[in-house]
Amino acid sequence: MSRTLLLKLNTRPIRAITLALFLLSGIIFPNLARASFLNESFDYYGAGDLAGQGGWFLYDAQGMLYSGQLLATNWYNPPLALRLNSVSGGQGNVIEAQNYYATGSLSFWFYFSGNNLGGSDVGQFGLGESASTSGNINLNILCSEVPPVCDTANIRAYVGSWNTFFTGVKKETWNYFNIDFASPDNFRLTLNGDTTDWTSTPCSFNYIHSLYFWTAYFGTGSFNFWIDNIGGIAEIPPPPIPESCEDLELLERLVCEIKNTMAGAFLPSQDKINDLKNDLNIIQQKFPFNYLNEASTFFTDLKAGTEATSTISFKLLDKPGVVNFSIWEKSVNLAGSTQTFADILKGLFSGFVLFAFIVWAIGFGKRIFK
Amino acid sequence: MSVADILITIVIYLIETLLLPILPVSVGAFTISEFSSGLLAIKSNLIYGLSGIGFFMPVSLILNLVLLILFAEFSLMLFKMGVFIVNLVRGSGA
Repeated sequence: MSRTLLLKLNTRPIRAITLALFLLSGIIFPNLARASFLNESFDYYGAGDLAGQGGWFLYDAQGMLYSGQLLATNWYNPPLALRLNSVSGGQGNVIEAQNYYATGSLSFWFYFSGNNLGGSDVGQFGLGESASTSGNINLNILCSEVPPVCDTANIRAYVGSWNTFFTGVKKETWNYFNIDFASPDNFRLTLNGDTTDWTSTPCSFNYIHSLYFWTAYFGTGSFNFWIDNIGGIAEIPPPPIPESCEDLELLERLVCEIKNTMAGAFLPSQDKINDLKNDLNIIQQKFPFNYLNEASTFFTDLKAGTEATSTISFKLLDKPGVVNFSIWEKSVNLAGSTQTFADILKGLFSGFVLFAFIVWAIGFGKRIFK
Repeated sequence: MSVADILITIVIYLIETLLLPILPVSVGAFTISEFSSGLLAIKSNLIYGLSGIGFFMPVSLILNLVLLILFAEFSLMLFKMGVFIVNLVRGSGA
């Protein structure tokens, strides 16, 4: 790039526009691959019933699914399993979105440690139309070594029969897992950046009906299993099916044919969109985007956590007590409207904060054009 | 193959050959799990600390503005860093 051109580009308006575009890209790009029906952030694992939640959700467990010794049984109820709503067999319906077709993806991080004995399941999850193995995909994370060692695990999927897709999954490290659906009968798996080929399944997916995680254990010993950042991405609507032009008049048929030709020449195919979406998902899990996502989730959760009012408890001479905020709920008639002391103070502090923000914004604007 | 398919194929190729092999999951000693744990601890403490004053202070507004200021300052810093690097290469013209 010539020096003259660079000098011409180094003007204040150009710098301001460049900075504005950069700021916009910081907002747009992280959200590019996260088109979703519904985003929910749940601060506490196992807290509350998510009945009635439709569509995809983003769940951040921030914690341990299970730690300790398990008996030789399975189908653990919460909090030993992530189960939402009540369905027989201990599994839960998470997603009951209607008119939703299983083209999309589901991802989460998992981590396991400890000494899992007996070559047992470290963790297992499934999704599909029902709890039975015939109508869904069951995946499990299974110790790959002879007990009592469990330093690595295999990931298997039940698609009519158990197939092993990944081996040597290491313990005591966070692993990223993703499953893509290209059509109701095809899926592929991604583990830490390695992606399998598209695999057909005899299971018929019309929509993701159930999602459940549990720890199943058939031996003795103790281990820990974490699950975190469960996320889903809704499908991008497929390109419109070419319109039928047979029943149209000559001129309308010509316009229809031209429209179909243009659509076929310029619109992307669903496979390419899915491939791009999968690569963007993988980038989201790489530095620095995963760190930025964690920071973004931190602020979101912080805002949600501070919005709820709570009490301040204290202990004086071994006697517990709670700070009484009832005085702030007393109302007063101010300039014709009734307001509580809390609202008045909130308004006052909001004014101070906004004034300080305006002062900063003026200084920031001056620094941009400096 | 449509025009959009070709463009997407190029983008995918560039991502898979240039970006994905280079970008790590964690950075050295400061892993993503340590980062998450640290943020969780800070979040818990902040929520506990701000829980009482949230009754009469606009905590949500303050947090939103702090986030906006941090983002703007960080973006400006990155922009100036880029200009500095460009000046290093071509000379500042002074």
